[in-house]
Amino acid sequence: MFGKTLSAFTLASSIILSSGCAQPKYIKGENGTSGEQSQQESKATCANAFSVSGYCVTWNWETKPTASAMGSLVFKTYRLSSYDQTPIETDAASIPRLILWMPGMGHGSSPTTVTRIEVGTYRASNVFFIMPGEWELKFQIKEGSEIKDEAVIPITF
Amino acid sequence: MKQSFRLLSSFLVSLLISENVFAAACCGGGFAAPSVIAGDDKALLTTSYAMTEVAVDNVDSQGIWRKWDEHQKVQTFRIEGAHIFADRWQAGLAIPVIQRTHMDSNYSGLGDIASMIGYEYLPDWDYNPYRPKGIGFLQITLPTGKSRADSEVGGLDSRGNGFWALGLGTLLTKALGKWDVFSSLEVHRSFDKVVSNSQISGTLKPGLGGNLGVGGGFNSKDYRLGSSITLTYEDPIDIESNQSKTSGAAERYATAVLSASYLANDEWAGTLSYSDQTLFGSPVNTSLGRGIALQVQRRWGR
Repeated sequence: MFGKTLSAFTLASSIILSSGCAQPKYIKGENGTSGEQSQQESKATCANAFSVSGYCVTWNWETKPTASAMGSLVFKTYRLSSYDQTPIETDAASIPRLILWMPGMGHGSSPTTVTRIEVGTYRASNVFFIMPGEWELKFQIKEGSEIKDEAVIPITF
Repeated sequence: MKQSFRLLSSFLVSLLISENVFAAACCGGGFAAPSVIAGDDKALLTTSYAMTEVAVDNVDSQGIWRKWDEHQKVQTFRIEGAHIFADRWQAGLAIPVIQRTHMDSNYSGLGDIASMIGYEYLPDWDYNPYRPKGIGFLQITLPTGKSRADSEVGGLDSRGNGFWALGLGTLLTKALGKWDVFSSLEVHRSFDKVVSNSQISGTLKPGLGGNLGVGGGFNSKDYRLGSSITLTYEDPIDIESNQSKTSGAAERYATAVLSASYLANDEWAGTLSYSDQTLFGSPVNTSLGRGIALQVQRRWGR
């Protein structure tokens, strides 16, 4: 009796559950390192820029974060010379903040700390990604709670 | 047949209330309805405990799955009740408490409280062999749990959707001898919310969301074995500020559940269930979990 019951239940469940099976597309992770995506320093072509001031932004890892440890990055703000388009490092209107944002999931990560190293050069520490995936580096100039200027760089971590 | 209905009712309560079913594993909270009395009871009180582990940390907008070695664990304790009034009308309330753990971090607190009014629009007075029993419900969700956008630790301390939401749903059930089948459909609308923290500042603009579930089970004496699958969808949540508008991304996933229920007597029932979000569908912009849940229910007959 139990055998027939189990068989019937198994059959019914199989019919229901066999449709629409997930087809996972995994990417081999490096357990938190930046992996296959390039985070090379941008060339002086101003690939990323603040939307209001037009100042360019480049960045690279100083210490890559992992799944369990925070990291840090160094970023530079500059303008292109009107004469020969060479980069001229320039301080932003104020020390930019760095917000880590995951647009697909609708959340950020733990706050970072930004300090000025020299003209147009800043270090962002306490950089930590709570999960792998598609993130945005949001460099922001704020006055109080109002964002005055922003540069957004997408990365895949 | 009456016995199978009682067990079905018990399981359906488990299905509908489980945070495992209606929530992305990593963060935020689902839109889970409070207990719905689907059987012949006058009232019921349900307590449940669920443990979920995030198995896939992120599925991105292209459907790429990524996971690390360390995963979040989510524990949910939920208490809820429902009571019949005016014959075919019922009201319910659900209060969840959620704890998230990730490595050395641990956050806990109240989730989104949900209230419900239901109406049996398709009664089963004459046990028609084909016509199902139908209950419709209106649900209001209170934003008592912190949302993902409110979180300043990557969603670890989020325990709800964080929006006021209004939902409409229906549950159809039918007993066919020792077998039972059911389907559920729920659609909700979440409302705008202003948020200001170290991460974002502006107005969150959600949209529509919904859950569609089907399932069935087999009843034998005091036991029921069941399975179901629920598809969940949430509109993108856009962020608007004075300076810019940031578009969100739609979320989609499917939750499969296997359950075993036991009806101890006319007053007490228990259900043990296993849920898995990694098996079916084409998820996007979500995280996927696996979990187990135990539910104990006290019932009062009419």
